[in-house]
Amino acid sequence: MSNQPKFGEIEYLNPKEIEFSYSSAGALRFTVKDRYSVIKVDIGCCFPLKSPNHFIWVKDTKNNELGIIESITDLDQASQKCVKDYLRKRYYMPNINSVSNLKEEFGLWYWETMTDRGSRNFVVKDPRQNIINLGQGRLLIIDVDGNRFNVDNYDLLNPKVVIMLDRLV
Amino acid sequence: MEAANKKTGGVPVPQLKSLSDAFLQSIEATKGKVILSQYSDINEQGVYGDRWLIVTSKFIEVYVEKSTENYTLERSLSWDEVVEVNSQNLVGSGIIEATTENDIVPLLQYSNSYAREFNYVVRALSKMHALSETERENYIYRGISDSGKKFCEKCGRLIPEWTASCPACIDKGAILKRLLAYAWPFRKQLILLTLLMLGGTALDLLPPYLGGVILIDKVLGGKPENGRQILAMVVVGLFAIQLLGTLFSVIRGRMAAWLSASLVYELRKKTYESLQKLSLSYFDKRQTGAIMSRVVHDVNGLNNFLIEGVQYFLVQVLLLIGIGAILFSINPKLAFWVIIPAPVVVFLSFHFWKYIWKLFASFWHRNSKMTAVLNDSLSGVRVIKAFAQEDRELDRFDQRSRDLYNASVQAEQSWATLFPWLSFVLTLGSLFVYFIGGSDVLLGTATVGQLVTFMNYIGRFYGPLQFLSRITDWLTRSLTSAERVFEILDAQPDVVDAPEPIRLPHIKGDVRFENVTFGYDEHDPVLQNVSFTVKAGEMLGVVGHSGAGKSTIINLLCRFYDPNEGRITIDGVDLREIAQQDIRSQVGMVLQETFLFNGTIAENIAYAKPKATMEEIVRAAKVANAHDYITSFPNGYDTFVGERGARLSGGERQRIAIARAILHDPRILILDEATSAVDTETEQKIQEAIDRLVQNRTTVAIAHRLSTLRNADKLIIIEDGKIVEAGSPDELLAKKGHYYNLVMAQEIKSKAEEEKQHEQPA
Ligand SMILES: Nc1ncnc2c1ncn2[C@@H]1O[C@H](COP(=O)(O)OP(=O)(O)OP(=O)(O)O)[C@@H](O)[C@H]1O
Ligand SMILES: [Mg+2]
Repeated sequence: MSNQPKFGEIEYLNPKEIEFSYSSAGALRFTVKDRYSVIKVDIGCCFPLKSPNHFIWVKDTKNNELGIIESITDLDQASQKCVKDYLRKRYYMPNINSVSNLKEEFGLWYWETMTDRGSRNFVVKDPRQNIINLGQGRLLIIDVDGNRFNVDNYDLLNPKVVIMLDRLV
Repeated sequence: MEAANKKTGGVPVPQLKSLSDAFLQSIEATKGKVILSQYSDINEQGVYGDRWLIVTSKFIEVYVEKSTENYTLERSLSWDEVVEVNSQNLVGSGIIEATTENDIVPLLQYSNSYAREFNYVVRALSKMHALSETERENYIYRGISDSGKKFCEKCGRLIPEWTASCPACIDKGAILKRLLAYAWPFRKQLILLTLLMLGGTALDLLPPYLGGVILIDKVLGGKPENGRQILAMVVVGLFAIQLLGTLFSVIRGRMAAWLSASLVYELRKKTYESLQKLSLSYFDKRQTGAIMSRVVHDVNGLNNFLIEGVQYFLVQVLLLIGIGAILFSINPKLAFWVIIPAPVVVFLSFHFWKYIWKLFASFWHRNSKMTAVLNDSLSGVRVIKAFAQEDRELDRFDQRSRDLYNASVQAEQSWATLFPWLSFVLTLGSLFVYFIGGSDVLLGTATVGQLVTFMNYIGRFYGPLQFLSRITDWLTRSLTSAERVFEILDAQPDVVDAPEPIRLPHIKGDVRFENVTFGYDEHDPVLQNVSFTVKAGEMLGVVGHSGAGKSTIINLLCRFYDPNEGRITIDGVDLREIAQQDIRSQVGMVLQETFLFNGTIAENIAYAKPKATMEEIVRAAKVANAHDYITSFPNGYDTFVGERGARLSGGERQRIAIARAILHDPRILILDEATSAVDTETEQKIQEAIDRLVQNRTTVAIAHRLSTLRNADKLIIIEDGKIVEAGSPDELLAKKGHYYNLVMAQEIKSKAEEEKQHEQPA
């Protein structure tokens, strides 16, 4: 890019000047109006857990950072939708809405849950390590395969589950 | 793993997905031979669903599974269109993408449960891409041999990595048996112990009987002629019983103390031995604290179970039966009234202990959390002070401390409230007996002695009941402890010696990497297709950005891990064939993070050769340029370095590590950033030391400062786990590629620094 930012500076992307869209095949395309367009970029959150809608980095396929978007909501509607869809895919972290069964056996926790992306059963080992308390009742759960699940407030799950989780956090 | 509808005990059963034959045939009819098919659990909307990647000799296609008979084509690419196929690891999932002439096509997404499978698929696709259609038809896709997870055939549960058989289907008796096997060497003492305990218990049961039915009814109540004589005999009997009981309990106590210490010692030794044998990857996946707690707490738990628990259990059961029998033989009617409240006792104490246990468990949990904070802040005290964060740490500690305080108050108060009430309720049972037994005495159907005997036994009868009501919980806890310890005992190191390892007592030092691919997680390769050769006595320099995979190369060379693909040889022999002992004894390292053990400087230098003489130690330190600063310490070589060598500077520690390597005198020397983070003068000293050290041995050196690698015979430049350039420093400079650029960048920087110094004369 013509004017390289100084070392250590954050290069903010001006939300009014940039656009995201999907190519016909479905790759995420990034355009800085009147300057350049990249056929495929990767975008991600600097703070995927605490603040998934702010500080979004944009990188090209060679892993060079093109800049940072301060807030998704500043983008135009179409771009916003593209970005949100992409991030939802990139951070595959279904939200657990309810737990129909939770069983502990030999240190393994067997979950039967309903998530915002459909029903899912999974197994968690070493729960003390893989169920992470993010504060205010929010949990991040990582199963034996490395899949991630989010719980917004575990106090709202069924009482039996709450009791089991209380022991951990 | 995808859950099926069938469930066993509420536990999901995985289902091996397959395509219907009819469907496969229909594809073969039009799309060419099916080479591979792979199921994915995420559908086109990004929610859980069923999709398939089907690769034929002509096409790469994605199908959505609507039902087992109904599939709809979602995407189709002919092999001619495809330029490249890649997989990308996202967070919690991955995606396969195909690059075409002018676009990038996301083929399908899969959850991490299928990451391993798709990684294999992508590698196969890359190979197939290079083939012609007819060659592709003959390509055989083997797929992934094991998915890294095992499920029980009987119940479908996930089998934890550490056991061969399903822990739920293995009968608990087997674990118990195995546990008892650890006590087997002590069987004689244990039997004696149990006998003593039984004897003690029997003796314990006598006094109430003697003092009640015999003394009161027969002697005092009966007023026989030789009353005083019998009285004296009873008293002497009671005395003898007390004395014997005391003796028994002294012997038993001493023996139990010895036994349990011996058992804990043995178990702990075994656990620790097993830990030391395990490969690094075992420790990568676990927290040190968790492992420590097993060696310390769980081993103790097992001991309590084996020594105290089993006996206690036996005694309680016998007490229950014994007292029951005595009571019924003395007075069946009264005995019946004693039994009546038993269910209430069991019910109440079950819930009481469960509740109390929970409170105390939470207390212990918070206690360990507070300890963790304390540990954290004490080890990080320098950082805390440097950033003036004392107040925040105080808050953090205060919060944990308050949590603990709350838990403690709650637990203790509940205990203080509930326990007296439980006791109160339990005594109510004896009130029954007072009333009914008292009435009987008044009516003459029972004797005073009987009543007194009953009153004495009743408390001892409810004790075992309380204990037995909690037996399942107690067993479960012990068995869980056992499992945790067995996990360590059973864990198999990933890196093991070949059945008949080749001995190489005198390594020459030829090192060769052949197409080595490796990832700490197999599906996320850190090194890809790395090949290079170092001849004996040569020095290889490894250059690359942070995180490029330099230290990983070293980890493989030391065989801390085995490569996933390709091979590494020393003197032409595959590393996996060589006895590990021969590798470790002839490969020496100065690592990026210098680790010093708690001990003196001399002990640390002589770590690899504990029998080293004083002369050897001093000479090694001299070669390492460490002698001068060591002798300036008041305690010289006997200076205690403290935990992790905290009392030494970075450069000082580094030089001790070099001295350690010199004393070790390895055939192959590994230097991982041995000169990082020190000033120029110290660097020079260390560099001198290294220059002496590398003579006549094969050396692999990693350095960020390229000037240190000037003397290397050969350099490899690593980028993202791949070698991008290789050759001698001069060749690479002439080539004006990656290395040249790096050198230029560093030179410009150091020149600029020099100029700055000239501008501001001191
Ligand atoms: N024990 C481990 N488990 C999982 N991943 C690891 C482990 N050690 C290193 N990695 C990862 O492997 C990659 C290569 O690490 P490596 O230590 O080889 O880098 P390096 O080239 O030595 O970097 P540096 O110059 O900073 O020392 C990094 O992305 C790192 O995060
Ligand atoms: Mg390193």
